[in-house]
Amino acid sequence: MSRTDRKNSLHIKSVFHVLRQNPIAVIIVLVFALFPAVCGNIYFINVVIEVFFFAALGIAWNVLGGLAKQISWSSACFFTIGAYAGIMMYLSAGVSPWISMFIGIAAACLFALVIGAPCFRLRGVFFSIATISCTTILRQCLIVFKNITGGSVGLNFGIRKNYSLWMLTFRSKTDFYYLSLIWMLACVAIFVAVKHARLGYYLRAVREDEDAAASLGIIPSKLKTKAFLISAAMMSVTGTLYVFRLGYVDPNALCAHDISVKIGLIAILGGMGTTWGPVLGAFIIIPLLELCNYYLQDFAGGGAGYALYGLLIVLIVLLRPSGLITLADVIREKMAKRKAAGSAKGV
Amino acid sequence: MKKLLQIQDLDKSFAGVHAIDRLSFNIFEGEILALIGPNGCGKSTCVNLISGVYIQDSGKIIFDNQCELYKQTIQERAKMGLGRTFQSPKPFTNLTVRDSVLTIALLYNKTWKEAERKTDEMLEFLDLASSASVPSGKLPIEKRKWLDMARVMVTEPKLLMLDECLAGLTPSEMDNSLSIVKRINERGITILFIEHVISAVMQLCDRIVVMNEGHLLTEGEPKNVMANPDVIRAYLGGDYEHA
Repeated sequence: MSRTDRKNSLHIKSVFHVLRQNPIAVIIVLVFALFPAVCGNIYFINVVIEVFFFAALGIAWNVLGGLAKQISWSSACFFTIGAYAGIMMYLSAGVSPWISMFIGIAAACLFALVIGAPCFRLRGVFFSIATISCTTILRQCLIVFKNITGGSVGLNFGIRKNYSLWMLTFRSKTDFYYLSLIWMLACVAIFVAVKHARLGYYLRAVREDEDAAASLGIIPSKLKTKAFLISAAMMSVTGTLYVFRLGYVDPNALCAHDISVKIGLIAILGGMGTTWGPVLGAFIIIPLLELCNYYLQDFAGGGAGYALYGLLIVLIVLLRPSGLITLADVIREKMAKRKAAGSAKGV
Repeated sequence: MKKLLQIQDLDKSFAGVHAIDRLSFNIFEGEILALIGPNGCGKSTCVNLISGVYIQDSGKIIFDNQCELYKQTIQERAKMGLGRTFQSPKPFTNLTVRDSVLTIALLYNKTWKEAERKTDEMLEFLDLASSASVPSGKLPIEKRKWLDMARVMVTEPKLLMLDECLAGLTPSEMDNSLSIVKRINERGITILFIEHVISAVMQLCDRIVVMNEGHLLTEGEPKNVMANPDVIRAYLGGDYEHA
């Protein structure tokens, strides 16, 4: 197959390509597809749902953070916008999340454009610093405009009685489990498609050397904005789905710097720019935080989670800046070497 | 001969430093023009002005006989056919050689097929085909310079500005690189060759422009320029005879 044919059916073919390249990933996905049938404990299922949602957010972060190395700490904004779009439209007009998610995408993209225009004039660490303020700005807006947003108390669905997929009201927890699993896999597919499209190539060029890329005709700010929009849209959809599971929104919990850091850290820990890195990262961070909440809740006024973030960032930057998922490559290489050595001995 | 680029009374200052001082010269279509001069004389600033990194304070840069370069961005100038390489190579470190070139080819071609064909052709042309799957950051210095040239060549430039593409090379590597520059020129691409290695300049270039302290010292054919005592003085200092 020539690589040209790929352009036409790029999305599907590159997804298959990834599946063939990652037999272990396929097995893991199968294991998780069967997990609720085996595990009866609703708590564990809830934790894994949380993992899937945050993995999806990590993958969305990776579109901008991994491919273009623009480290954004404003992710919670887009997640919150999606969540509020979902709940506000449901409460005011009974709109299905499958429709309000598009309103969420539009709002998130608009917000991304507003913060992207000034922030993408800045480079590297200055871009990161500028994005930190965005979460706070949005949270204060949500609190101030309390007539529509419910202020600092937030909004909640109340009791929803009619069970339907259209309204994302389910009888059993496993329905949400599969929904979140499918959405996470969809995010993986979107990421792979972007990575192998023209945009992915240009973004990586910008990541490696912005000056050289510009001198050859690439316009970095335009491309970063595109990636930012894709990332924001994915996060917003995640937010809409997430709020229909959670049942309420609370600006202080949702639109928090803590959430932004968690999303970024998941991607960085797992492996920036890698396809499965954020999934691995989420499977480490989310359960770890659950353990912290359980065992260390009295430690430092509940601040153990923050200390853990800091420690993990320091460790990963020092020991494995390319992310934990790259350890798999190291193991694969070692096994190949051992195999080669073994066959050489056999001869 | 047709003038491809005209520089007229170009002036640029950075705070107190007068980097380019009423500089004028022309580049003719199809030639290899050397731009030489002592360190800090403004050669690279001149390239940066032409490629749009800096905007001139006054004076004109006229490209292709009609188009005056002033407000165009770096990218617009690249698309018009002004290509450049940098003094120290700037590889896309973690991308393979082929992907590096393909990325740029994609920007200038409508279909993937076309972009891939041009990429492979260019890698072949610049002796990089054997390292196509090597990460750019792992190339030796000589090939990194060729990779920079391959990337800019797929933009199909009319004028290629090579900023010290021989710096840091051994004599035999220099010979290889010189033959590559010659080959590029034989494809009809005009070259502005900024260089310190005078023997290479003498061997390769049709004409030489000598700059000193931001202004034009002299220009002409290599033999005549090199015999000019002003040039020798600029390079070696005023008392070279007694040195």
